Amino acid sequence: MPLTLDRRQFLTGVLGGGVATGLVRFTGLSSLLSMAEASASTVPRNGPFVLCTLYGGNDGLNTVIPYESGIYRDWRQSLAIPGDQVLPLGDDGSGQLGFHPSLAGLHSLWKEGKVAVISGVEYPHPNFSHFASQTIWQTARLDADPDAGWLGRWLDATGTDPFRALSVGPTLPPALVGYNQQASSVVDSTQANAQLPGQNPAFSGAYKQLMKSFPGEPALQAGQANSGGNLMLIGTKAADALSHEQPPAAPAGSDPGDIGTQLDIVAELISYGLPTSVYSVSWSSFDTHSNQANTHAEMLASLDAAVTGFMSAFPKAAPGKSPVIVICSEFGRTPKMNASLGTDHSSASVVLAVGPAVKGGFYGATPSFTKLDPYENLIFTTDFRRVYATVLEQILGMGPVSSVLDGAFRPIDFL
Amino acid sequence: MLSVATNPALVAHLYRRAGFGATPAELDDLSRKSWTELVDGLLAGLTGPGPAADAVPLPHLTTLPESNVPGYYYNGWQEYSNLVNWWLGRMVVTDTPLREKLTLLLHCQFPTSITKVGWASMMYAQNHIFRTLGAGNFETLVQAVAKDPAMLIWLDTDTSHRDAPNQNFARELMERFTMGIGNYTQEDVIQGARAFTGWELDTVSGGFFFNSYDHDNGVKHFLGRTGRFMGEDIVHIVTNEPASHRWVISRLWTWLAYPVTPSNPIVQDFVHGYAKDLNVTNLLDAMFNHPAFVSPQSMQGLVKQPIELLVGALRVLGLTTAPFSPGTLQGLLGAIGQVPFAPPSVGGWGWNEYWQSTGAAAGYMQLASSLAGVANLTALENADGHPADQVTAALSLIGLPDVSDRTRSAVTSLALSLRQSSGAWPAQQIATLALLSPEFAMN
Repeated sequence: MPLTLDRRQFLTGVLGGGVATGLVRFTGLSSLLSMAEASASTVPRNGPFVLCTLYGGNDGLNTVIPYESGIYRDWRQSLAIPGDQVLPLGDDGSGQLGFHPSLAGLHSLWKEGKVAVISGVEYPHPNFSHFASQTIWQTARLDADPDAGWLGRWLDATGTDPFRALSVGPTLPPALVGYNQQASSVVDSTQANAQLPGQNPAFSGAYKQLMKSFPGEPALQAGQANSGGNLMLIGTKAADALSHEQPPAAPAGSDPGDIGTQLDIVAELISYGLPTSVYSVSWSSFDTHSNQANTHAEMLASLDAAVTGFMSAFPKAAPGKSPVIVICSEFGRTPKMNASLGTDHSSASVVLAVGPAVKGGFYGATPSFTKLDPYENLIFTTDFRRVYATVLEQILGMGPVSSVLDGAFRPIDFL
Repeated sequence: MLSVATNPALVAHLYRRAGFGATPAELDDLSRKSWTELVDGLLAGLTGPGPAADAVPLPHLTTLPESNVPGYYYNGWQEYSNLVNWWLGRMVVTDTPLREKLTLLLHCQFPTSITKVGWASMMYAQNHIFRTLGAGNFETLVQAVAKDPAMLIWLDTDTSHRDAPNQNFARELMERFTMGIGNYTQEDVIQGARAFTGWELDTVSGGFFFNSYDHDNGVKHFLGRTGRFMGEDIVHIVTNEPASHRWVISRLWTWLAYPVTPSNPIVQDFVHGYAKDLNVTNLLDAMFNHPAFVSPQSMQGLVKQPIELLVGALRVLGLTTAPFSPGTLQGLLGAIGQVPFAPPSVGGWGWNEYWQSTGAAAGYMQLASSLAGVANLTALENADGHPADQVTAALSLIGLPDVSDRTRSAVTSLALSLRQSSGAWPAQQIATLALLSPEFAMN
């Protein structure tokens, strides 16, 4: 039996051992608190926005399931989820839809009216490459050339405060890297290394001096300096938030996994009141080319536990504490099952928006099952940039036509 | 041959890019040689014995047949940690640095993760392919990688069947491994996938097995050609396409000099030579001898990948992996985002700005303090005289004789203030801060 590495164990290797708690010991909080107060007036009614990216291509058809469709059952054969197992959502006009049985927590949130199911989301001329399609989603540009990310362009347009966007994990998703500005990232601080030299104030002072770029410094070297400089700006406050807040409890008997830990961190930071409008978490891999049934069920169960645990910290909409999680992936998977009991790269898929201020219901439109593209993929009905326009206008307070999206996209009315 | 000395800064550059950096003592010695001698020496190390690295003992790695014994317990996490330490150990002690560097770059080119493969022994076997075949003909390498058990699992060739082929390997073979996006169509992916059906992992032997009963031997239309192509034919076609020449060159140049796309004019300078024989050693030779390799754009063109920074720091500090228990270095690298044998996806890791986030900066702080905490710094502790001289000694130790005033004054101010408060020479903290300097992060 090939071994599957335990996700918790792997996480310890990947996210563990962050140093933020070490930092709190050697830098004062006062300057950071004043920065937080300065930003408080800009806290929008909705939000913060929490981007949850599922890398690899999540199978939309087995997330929101057209369980009464005979065509669906023919396509999916043994991968089709039987109607008596799905968690019914109702009829969106195309037929009865239901959540995958792993999504019990989200189903409860749906019944509370806190989940928007946005169907048929993608872009024209689908690209079946992970990299190209991720690039399109990250840049909100259809040419698939690596370029500034859409949230990076929002950062470019809104100042220099390093708190505006925080990503969990050491490397930044390209969506959060602009031409001039980029998000900050935080790592898990729960395993602080007590031997850090940072306990000494002399060290932190010298480190700040070291990590300040100077005029004429080569660009990459200056970028290295700035990453350390921004760490000193955000590290203390993020660490303080993480050391004071209790992570929300995940529902008993479930394993929220890596994504759960990431969302725990975000919940703590939001509860603490950081002046942050955008958080980003991400998870791999939904690339279920083979033996999909169990893998997908387990990953959705972890996602469900993670999101449900997160939402338990925000039962009601409140200023600055009405997070909107938008869960998306670079593409859906082929309607037809392949011979490896999996599915391949495809196009239109489902986006979920969850939060106390979300207007639950069906949005977008389920694609036709009889009119497919030449490679037998679903044809999208809803441009993904409309989701972004909703976020930009209704959470981040940007105007309808801004430098962020190239052109005007009609928001979707889920907020 | 007349030996002409080489500027030490250029030697240091060559050894950072073609290896994991040289110590100041090594640099003294190497700088007496000519550029040609230096490059030829590095290239010679790509084949033949590599006694220093080969002396690092390979940990026990359970093979698939071994695990078939009833009741056998496979501790995958432990074996994975041991394997990471083994490879890092090789990189640190090697006297044939380009061989380990090329092995690392090929891991970046064919990113494969143990999180799906599951078997440390298979990750080792793939690593061995990179190390032994990487410097030769690129098609030969790709033919071996395509049938490698880790790859068969990683990209699902093993579970693809002729009645509904799995597209994963065929797509990534073209997109990531050999040609780059835009040089094939979705139809080529579908047709290529048919050719790899019947390629399986034999669970008894643990090796490649061709199941002719599950192979689609029909006619395929692939990249403008028509035939009853087998998987080997597909690999032959894609590695010999002009697009593949440009792709392979651009990838290597990106990791050795500065990031370029396949359409960058510099790529064209290598196409003619590489197209003749797809020989990677000859390509590396041409790259190291190209004037642009020592241009300002190249000298300032890369930051170290975390693995490169860790190994380089261990080398200059005179450390091996020995003081670190398995899992320690792995955890430090994990906090920055680059653990060997566990790339985030088939897309692999990025470069330069990809490694410059506040989260990575936090990880680097922990890495630097952990290394300085175990290094033998008695030479610094015993240093006497003016603080400025001591700072110079510290910066020289880690191979940074010429740093900005900003960096020198930051290290000096730490030395002065700690000395005032404790009366001691704070070697460990000085070394930590020097390792964190933006200059040290540059490759």
